[in-house]
Amino acid sequence: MNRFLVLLILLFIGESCITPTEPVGVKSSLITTLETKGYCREVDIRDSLLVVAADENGYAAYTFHFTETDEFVIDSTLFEESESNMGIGYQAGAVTVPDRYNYFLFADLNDAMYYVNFADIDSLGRVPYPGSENRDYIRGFCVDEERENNLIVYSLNRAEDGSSCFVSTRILPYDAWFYEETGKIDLWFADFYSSVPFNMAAKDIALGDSLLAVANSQLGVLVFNQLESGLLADTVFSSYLIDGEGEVESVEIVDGLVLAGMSKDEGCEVTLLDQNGNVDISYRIAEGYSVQSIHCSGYLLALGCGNDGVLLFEYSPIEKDFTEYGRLDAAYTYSAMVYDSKMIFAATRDGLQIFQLER
Amino acid sequence: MRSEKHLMLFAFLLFAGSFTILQAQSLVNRLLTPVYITSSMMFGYDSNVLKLSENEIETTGENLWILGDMDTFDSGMIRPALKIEYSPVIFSDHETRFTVDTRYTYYSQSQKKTYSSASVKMETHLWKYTWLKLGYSIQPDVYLRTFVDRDRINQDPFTCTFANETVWSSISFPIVRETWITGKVKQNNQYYNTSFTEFDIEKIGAEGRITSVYFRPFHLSIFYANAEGENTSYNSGYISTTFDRSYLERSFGGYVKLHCKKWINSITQSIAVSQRFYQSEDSDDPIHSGREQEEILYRIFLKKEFQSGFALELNGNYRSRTTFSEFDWVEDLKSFSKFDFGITISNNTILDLFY
Repeated sequence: MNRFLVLLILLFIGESCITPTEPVGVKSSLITTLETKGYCREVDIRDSLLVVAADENGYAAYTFHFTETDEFVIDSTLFEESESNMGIGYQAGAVTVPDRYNYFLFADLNDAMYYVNFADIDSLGRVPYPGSENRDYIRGFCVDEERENNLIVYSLNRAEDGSSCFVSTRILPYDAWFYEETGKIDLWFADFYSSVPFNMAAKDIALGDSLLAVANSQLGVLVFNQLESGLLADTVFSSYLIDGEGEVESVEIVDGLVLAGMSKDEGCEVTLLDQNGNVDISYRIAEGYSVQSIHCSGYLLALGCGNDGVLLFEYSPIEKDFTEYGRLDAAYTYSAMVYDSKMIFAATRDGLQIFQLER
Repeated sequence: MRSEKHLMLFAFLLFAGSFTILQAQSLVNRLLTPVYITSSMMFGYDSNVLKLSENEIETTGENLWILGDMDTFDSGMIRPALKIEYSPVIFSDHETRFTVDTRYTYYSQSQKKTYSSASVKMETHLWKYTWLKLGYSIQPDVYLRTFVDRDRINQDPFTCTFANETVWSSISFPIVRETWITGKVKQNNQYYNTSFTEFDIEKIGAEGRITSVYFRPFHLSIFYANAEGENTSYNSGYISTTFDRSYLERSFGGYVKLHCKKWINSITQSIAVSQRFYQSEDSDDPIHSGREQEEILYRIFLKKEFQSGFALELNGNYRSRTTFSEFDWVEDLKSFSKFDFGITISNNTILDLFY
């Protein structure tokens, strides 16, 4: 009987009636932090190629893969600035790896835009620039490769006199024969076009759905129509202010929606324009955060939010709506990129941080 | 599902004991014993329902959301309760008792703070001054207050509630004349609602208590307890779980009960000191890193019983927590004091349906 009672007591102690609840938020793990030596400002990826804009440390390029267990592995370091050159070389603030040919573009925001061939990664060429000055003050850029023989680069430029900004459209011919012979591209010529001038404090541009949007600081958002030729229409398609004290810092176009990331904890304004460029629907997400970058891929939206890390939203294309998914505890984040439905890359002050979502 | 398992366990214990011990008397006769019912109603006052620190109270004007659905820090309260005791004759020479206790606490200032609780207890006498007891108590939905959920993007304050359960067993033995020692082990689980699972705690503890009725008319008791609270959701992949909220806890205290003959039947005073030591040493977690806190709970009860089965009880509680931290603001934030008092009217009824 005594043994029976002891057994019952033990059973009783080991049991409980209530169980933990399932938490809200996103379950994630920081897989790795790739130290890029300088602040990591932006990252872009194509296949196994990964390029980062490493601020004072210029640019860095790697090849990588994910193992079957989702471990991030750097296969080789294609280029990193040498220790002795740090801080005196290029100051990369933005980077893009185009889909065609083996090269990438980066912008030294106070100097110029460059292209670098992976086949000759130590050397770089300067993307032809508009104007007569030897400087190409670029705030941001995006590319269009839809045309067969051309690369079209749209850059947000500060005017030479510093009093305004404009969008520079550069049509750069690809030389397929040269690439076949050398494995490299050579951007040596461009046709230049410029938009109407606008606010000198404009911060960012984005292209999508035949629209080009400009983050026009305290004056809201400007939207241009992209013509079939790739050039921008002469007149502004839409210009609208956004309520609140914040300035528009970043912009993105997702499925016809214009997303404007605001400073001063004002969040991200989502706007659907009608055919005449008037605001049809608008609403705010991520209120309480300063949004420095916007990236959407698949059904996932990632917002880079400085000290608040990365915010994730799920996108519903039917309802054209973003619903809160959760936060990633990244270091001070300049920009975030959705790699796939499980992997998020965050360009941070600590380097490139890679998060895996448990979905 | 798990509740059913416990009920099955109780039932199994009852009937297994019955079948092995019962000899002369039939099972039915031994089970048909009176049921003792105590119903009570407490009317009281709580000075600091949300356990706010002085700093929080002073700055509430700027942060009204702290109060949730309350208009003031204090509140009146009403607590109806029902206790049912049942003592079937399972063992011929030893008393066995089952107790079910349910309470509902209503706060006039806060619908959210209003909660219910229930407990069941089984006691069986083994030898002189030797009792074996098993107990279970639950408060399924206790409102703490509102907080910002760090896992959410939305920075609005969310309601923080938790389910609190305790499973315990104890056994007592005589040590000297009219004095016995009780050993108790218990597990306490606190599981928070979906927004605040980072605070989930599973606490296992042991308690030693010495009780004496030798010094009549005094009834004396002292105890010492140790417990370890494990933050089970620590590092589970959510942002809010990167801090470890585990702690060690030790408590000690006792009570003195004076049985009187005039005016009142008894006066009980108790004091319990609880010291908690958080395990975190993470410099990014100033709230918990190196934090210690000491909580003192003083209670006093005066009880008067009437021949009609009615009783009147006055009770007062004072609770004070002092926090020690490397950071002054943490000490200010996590320290508080409060008091509550009430008057309880109760009635004992014997429900004897069988004889």
